Amino acid sequence: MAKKKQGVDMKDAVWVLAVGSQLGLSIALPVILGLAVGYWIDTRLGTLPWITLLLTLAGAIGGPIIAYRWVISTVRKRFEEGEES
Amino acid sequence: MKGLMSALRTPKGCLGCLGILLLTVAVAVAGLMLGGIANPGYKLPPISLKAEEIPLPFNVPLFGHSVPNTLPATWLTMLVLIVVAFFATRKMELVPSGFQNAVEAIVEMFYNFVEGVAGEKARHFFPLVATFFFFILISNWMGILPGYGSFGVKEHEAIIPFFRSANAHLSTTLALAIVSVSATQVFGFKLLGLPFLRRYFTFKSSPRKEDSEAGGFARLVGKLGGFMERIGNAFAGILELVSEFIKILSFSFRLFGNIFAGEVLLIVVSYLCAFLASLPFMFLEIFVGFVQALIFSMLSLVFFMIATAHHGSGESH
Repeated sequence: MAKKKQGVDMKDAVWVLAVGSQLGLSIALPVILGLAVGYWIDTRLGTLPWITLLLTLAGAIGGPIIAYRWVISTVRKRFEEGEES
Repeated sequence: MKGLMSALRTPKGCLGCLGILLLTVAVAVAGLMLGGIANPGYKLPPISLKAEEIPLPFNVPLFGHSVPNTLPATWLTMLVLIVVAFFATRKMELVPSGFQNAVEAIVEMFYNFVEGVAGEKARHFFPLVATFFFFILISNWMGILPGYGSFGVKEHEAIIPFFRSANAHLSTTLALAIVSVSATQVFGFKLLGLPFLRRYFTFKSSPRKEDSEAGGFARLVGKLGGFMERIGNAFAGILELVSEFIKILSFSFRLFGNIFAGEVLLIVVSYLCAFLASLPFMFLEIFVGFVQALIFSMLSLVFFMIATAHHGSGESH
């Protein structure tokens, strides 16, 4: 057997995987949500495409902001724990 | 490996290994001959994004004359978990042995994992997070058992299977996601009390000492800054509310997408080559099932922790 590899902490690996997968979705999903809700409202009010456009744009702008705020708070929490322990 | 090498040195072992190799090749060739690659006339079995409805001869409250085929799979998963828990805790001993020992070792391993992430709060979160983990893991792994997706009732020339992997139905994953996000609010209230609501409704601006001392134009600018900060905080609260809904969507779509994609992959590979070719993909599905269960429980844990963190979850600073 070769020299034992430097072990990766399973907990950290899963944390990075989970945060990464959530990050991607929290950028993509607000756009889809904006599109779906906008289209639903537009078909009800007969104002196609204005509210769809507005909410899709709002999703496209809000998604990265939500992702940024979430990552900052998550990483800060993680570092606080690291300092405590 | 050593055993195999020594077996290969004897004529009997050599013949045995050759036999296994030939059998594998024969199965692979038979699989190719019987699969969709060699028979262009074969039709790919219908793949339904929705869970198929099993027709029932009687009426079930809330469901009518049919139930989705993920429902029996969910019950089966629950049954497996309940039976395991029952037999593991039936005759509890201080020094565990046998089955109790095995189950305790698994639960303890997961508890240490949760404790490593959540610290002291682990005892609050562990029951729910572990339930998520074991339920998702067992239902994902049971979804690739033989019999799932192959036994069923024939209706309109198509077979409606009795079982379909529980998480390959958006309703199941949506229910799990709603439970997780609701639990975030419950834990927030439980551990922080009413100040938890500041996360969503913050209209205060940070105190400015210099405001009272300054006069004239500087004071006006200070007040304007405070007003803008209040608007910013209110906007951040709305974003926080929206992000809760995004969380429900992301939780449910991620799990559903991964498990449903796995089901489709296995169906297509089995269609192209009848035997053996789907074996590596089964291992992949075992891995994906485990990783998805871990991701779901880990993310729930991270959200619980952020919701229960003091000083306004550290976001509006």
